[in-house]
Amino acid sequence: MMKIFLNNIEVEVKDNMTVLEVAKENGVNIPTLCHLDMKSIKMVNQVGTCRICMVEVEGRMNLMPACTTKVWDGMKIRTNTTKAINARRTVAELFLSNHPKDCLTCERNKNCELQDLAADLNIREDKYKGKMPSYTKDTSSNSMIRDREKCVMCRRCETMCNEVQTVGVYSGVNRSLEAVVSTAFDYPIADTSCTFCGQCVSVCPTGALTQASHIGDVWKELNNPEKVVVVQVAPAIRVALGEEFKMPIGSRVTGKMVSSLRRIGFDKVYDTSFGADVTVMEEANELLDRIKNGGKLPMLTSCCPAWVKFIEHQFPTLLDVPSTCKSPHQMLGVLAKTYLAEKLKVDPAKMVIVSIMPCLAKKYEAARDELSNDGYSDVDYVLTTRELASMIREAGINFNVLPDEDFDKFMGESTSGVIFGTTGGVIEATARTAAYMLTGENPKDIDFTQLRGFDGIREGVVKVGDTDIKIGIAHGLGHARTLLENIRDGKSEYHAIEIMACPGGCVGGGGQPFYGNDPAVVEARGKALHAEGADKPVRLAHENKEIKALYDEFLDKPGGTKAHKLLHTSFIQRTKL
Amino acid sequence: MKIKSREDLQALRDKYRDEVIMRLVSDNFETRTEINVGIGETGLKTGARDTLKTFFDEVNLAKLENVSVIAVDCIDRSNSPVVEIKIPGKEPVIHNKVDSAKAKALVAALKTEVQ
Amino acid sequence: MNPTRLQILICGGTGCISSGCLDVETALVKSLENHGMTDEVTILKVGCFGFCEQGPIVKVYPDNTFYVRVEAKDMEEIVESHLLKGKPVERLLFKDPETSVRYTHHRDMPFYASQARLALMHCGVVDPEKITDYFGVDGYKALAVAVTEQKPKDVIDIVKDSGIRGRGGAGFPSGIKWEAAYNVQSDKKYVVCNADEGDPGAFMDRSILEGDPHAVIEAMAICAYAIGADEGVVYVRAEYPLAINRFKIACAQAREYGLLGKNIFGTDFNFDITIDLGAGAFVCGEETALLNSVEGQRGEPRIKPPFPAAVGLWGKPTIINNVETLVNIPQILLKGADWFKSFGAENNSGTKVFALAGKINNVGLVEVPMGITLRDVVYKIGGGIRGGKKFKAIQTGGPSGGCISEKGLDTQVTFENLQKAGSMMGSGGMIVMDETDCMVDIAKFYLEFTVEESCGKCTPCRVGNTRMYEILERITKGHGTEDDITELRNLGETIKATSLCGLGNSAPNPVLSTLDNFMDEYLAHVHEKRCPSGKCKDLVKYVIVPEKCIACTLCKRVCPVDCIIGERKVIHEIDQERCIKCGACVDKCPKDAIITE
Repeated sequence: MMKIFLNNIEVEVKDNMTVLEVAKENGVNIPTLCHLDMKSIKMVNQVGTCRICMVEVEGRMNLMPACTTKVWDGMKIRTNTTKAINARRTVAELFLSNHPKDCLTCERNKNCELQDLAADLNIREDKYKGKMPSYTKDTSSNSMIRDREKCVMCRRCETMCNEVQTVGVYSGVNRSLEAVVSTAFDYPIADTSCTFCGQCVSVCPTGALTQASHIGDVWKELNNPEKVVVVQVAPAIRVALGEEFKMPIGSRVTGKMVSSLRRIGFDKVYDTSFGADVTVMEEANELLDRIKNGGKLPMLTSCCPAWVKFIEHQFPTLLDVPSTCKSPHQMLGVLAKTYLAEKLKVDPAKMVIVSIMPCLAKKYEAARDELSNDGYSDVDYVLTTRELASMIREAGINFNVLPDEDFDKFMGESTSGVIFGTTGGVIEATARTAAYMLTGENPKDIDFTQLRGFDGIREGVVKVGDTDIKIGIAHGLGHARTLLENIRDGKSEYHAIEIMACPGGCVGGGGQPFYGNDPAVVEARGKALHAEGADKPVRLAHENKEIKALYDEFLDKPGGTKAHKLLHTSFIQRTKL
Repeated sequence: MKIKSREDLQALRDKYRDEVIMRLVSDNFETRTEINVGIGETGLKTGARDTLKTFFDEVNLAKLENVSVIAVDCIDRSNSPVVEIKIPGKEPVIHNKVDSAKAKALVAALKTEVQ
Repeated sequence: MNPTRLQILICGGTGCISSGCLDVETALVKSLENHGMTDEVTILKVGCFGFCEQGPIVKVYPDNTFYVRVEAKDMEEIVESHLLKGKPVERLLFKDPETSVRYTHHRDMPFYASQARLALMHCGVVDPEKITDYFGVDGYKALAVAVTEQKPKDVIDIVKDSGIRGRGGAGFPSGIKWEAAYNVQSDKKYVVCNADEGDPGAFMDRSILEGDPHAVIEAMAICAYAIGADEGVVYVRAEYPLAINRFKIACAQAREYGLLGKNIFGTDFNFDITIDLGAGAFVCGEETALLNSVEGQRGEPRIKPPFPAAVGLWGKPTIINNVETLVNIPQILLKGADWFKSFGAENNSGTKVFALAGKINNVGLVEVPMGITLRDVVYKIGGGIRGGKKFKAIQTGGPSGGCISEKGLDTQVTFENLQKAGSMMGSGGMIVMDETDCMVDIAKFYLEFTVEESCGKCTPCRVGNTRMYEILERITKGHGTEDDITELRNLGETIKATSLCGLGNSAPNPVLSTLDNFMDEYLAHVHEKRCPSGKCKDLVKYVIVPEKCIACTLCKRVCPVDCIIGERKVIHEIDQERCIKCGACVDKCPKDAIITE
């Protein structure tokens, strides 16, 4: 402990704190821009590059950055001297002088940290007009867009991609005014080992990294009288969408979400959790098959397309390790264009499947060639949670006063699949059904809480009769890498591993509402999802009536020929760049 | 060879000191003894270069460190080879008709004076 | 060893090589052959003598004759008249431009009289490619004593006692830095020599590496012993091929003798050096950016603290010292801290090497005791302003330094004084300016450099320096306003106070110091749209003086844009709208009738 003086007030502080932390603890707001501290998911961007948080410290000639300066005993800090305020203002004005002024048409209009800074500092003049670097937008990917002209060199994306996700696609490039964060040799992002996890988009303070939007395409389809537009919604949406409409964190808005989708004009509204239940059936079957018949173990879940791309680039020799199951929304998509199309007597050529996902990688996934059947793409468009919120606003729908409605029949009932959206949820749901398939009986307690939690790497054992199924769980690609290296080195003792690319699982996806610097939001969403799951009348995929009907009438059995043709896929070896 | 001790290094220093000593001594303008041997056109004919060589060899043999043997322009044509010996703190002394034998003797005398 | 009667030393530094000293050497060899004198002479290519203005330089030993501006064709005369017959060639001796006195020895030359060559002690004396020469001058003795008789702490105490401060620019007491690294417990430590020398026009470190590489090796080994390191890295800019080559040769020779490698002097002290080349980034002269570069990362500075002495190369305790700082170490250990302190001023012991350049008579590499006045440097050593022009300013510290006006000429050169005067010591560049230099243009020139070299990591330097540059561009083009001047100061002070590293902290110095000392020039540019020294092309008007014009049309004929109106017998006039200020007419006019306003 030590005593320091903050704006002439004596405070006692713990050792090893920064000026910024001390100020926050004592109710003093020092403006920042590049700083981002999310220790719980190992995302700490403490690079001191923006030079906004400058404070005056007695005995020092120059100002000091609050975010990286550790306090010392007796330190005298003043945060609001004329010198400090002028400096902050000048630095902010320099930022603005080098930033495009197209706020009105920018994706981050009203939700931009640079806008906030300019507004908070009352900047009324573009003082230092001068040249600005000119870069073309990178629109090579259908998941995200890079606009380097809006880069403020905060390095958050670099830190996230290098240190948390360990993918390493970004670095600072060029010098002087032209210095921005970009890919190696300025390659289009689609040509790199980017997994499109979208975590960089989540942390970017400005419009330099944004999602690619397909709202326009979807409106076109909705307005086409010949098309039957089917929408499915991922589990993670229903516990986060409310945040876009100022509802409390962790609000479960399933009913309103469904009714908003109907009002937007979708012909059928389905639940991706149904697809997740199908995934549970197929994957549980596959796991047991491998366990019983000496197949490759551990088996990894494969519903996360960012993580699939990760293993394709980084561990191309381990492609027989993931499950061959498609992801839930792909499964629901292909079933919609076959099973459902039959039932509804709709020509699959006229059917459009739209997935609402918490994820940017799903946009990339939907466009993968092998994820199609008989010439029809399993999923046609993917919209993120943020895009759905925009559509709701654009359609003039008052979300907060909507009545609750239910999903449509045939593919609307879900059980354990709903917990897919949080870390550990996929494997927990799968393990429940695997336990049944192995013993013929449901486990006594189906809440495998030993698999729950927020730690980056976890493990748990699910006792199924005499068998101990050893399970590993990782979320965040950095943790995934650790588990994969163990597998590669033959040190892995698990039967099954669940991997989610995004910290927290899909609830923390790159397409979700921005959660600022508070990972507790993600945790709250995850808990809400488990609450959804607990409230389900039926909580086991193999007891889902609609699932039973699906297999009886159409698929025959999990892992069977038809199931294999429609619901399973393969992976591609890719190089690292 | 690998140097394994201070003594090894000192031995090398002693061995190669001769190669650099001339450059170090030459900066001692005030303290070095100068043996200026007049050559010029006349000197070439009167064997001043032999005198010069003898002085150089003898000074080396006697290991007189702070002594420089310098060829200068002809000092006195009629008495060539003429040699001027400048010992610091003393008046310079001119020696006339210095042949190799005399050079040897002068160095021997110098040896006692400067050591 | 039988030394020869004569030793001829030819300056083999990069400067003199470009002036043709290799041809001089070839000619000398030939002439000696012709006169049958090959066995009488040892020819040595040595390091920089310092008097670069007068190169190629040839010295004759034991006479200690100093020949300047020697060309290949002069060698025959030198051999025949001087080497054979003892008569120095007078026309090749240095002649003082003011007094017309000719100097045989360097010692009496005003250029050398006020200098104290300690760091450069062996430059121009030893053959840098011969370790045996270095042995002969007590080379590696300091290391020997240190590792066989002294404890690491003893060595550090001597360095501390000497008071030597970093010669790379920051001036931090080296002994205290070494002690900090010594005090950290670690399985691995490093010594890094910063030979990036990014300041344009500076060549102190280059000359030392070219002229006395073994002293650097010895110093690094001493430092390693003192702090507990076993690996050294020399980070040298790739633009110094000769220095790199000579240093590589020196390392190989040191290894041969067991002075690098395992069990040095038979003790359990191991040390070896690798060479890392820079890749053209000024910012990599900043110690933490340098470390990042060595590690293969983007050459950007790190946040300090932690300092490299605690967390440095590969995260281990590291001492990074400049070449000049290091080269002083062996002498300090050999001759003692008191000897070092006998030179210099209070808190600024020892000497400093400067690359003296600009509008003075004697351009070259000089080493002066700390505390010497700038006036003495300019007039005694520099020989005054070239062409009889008037002194205007002296810039120290390279692009990070400031311009000191005539008022500051009596400033004594110390770290503190130069900072107080609005400049800094820097690594040793010293540029002298005269009345034909425009101080606004000078500020712009330096800022152009730092703008390009900014790594871009932090906002004030990345954006702010460019904005300052744009303002200066406006001012020198005649579009400046008084607000611009206010903004320059505001920006400059903000950038200084908020930048992340030394490059940004000091980039505004040339601007701020010229605003302080030469505000009249800024005001002339802004209010009168006039450049007092006639340097800023956009503000200069070329005018034909009617009284002097003889209407010969010569100027008209050379004008590339045909903007001169007039014919034979009709007084000429320049159309200011179309004139591009190329000055071709000025050169052509036989009557000097065209002037600049």
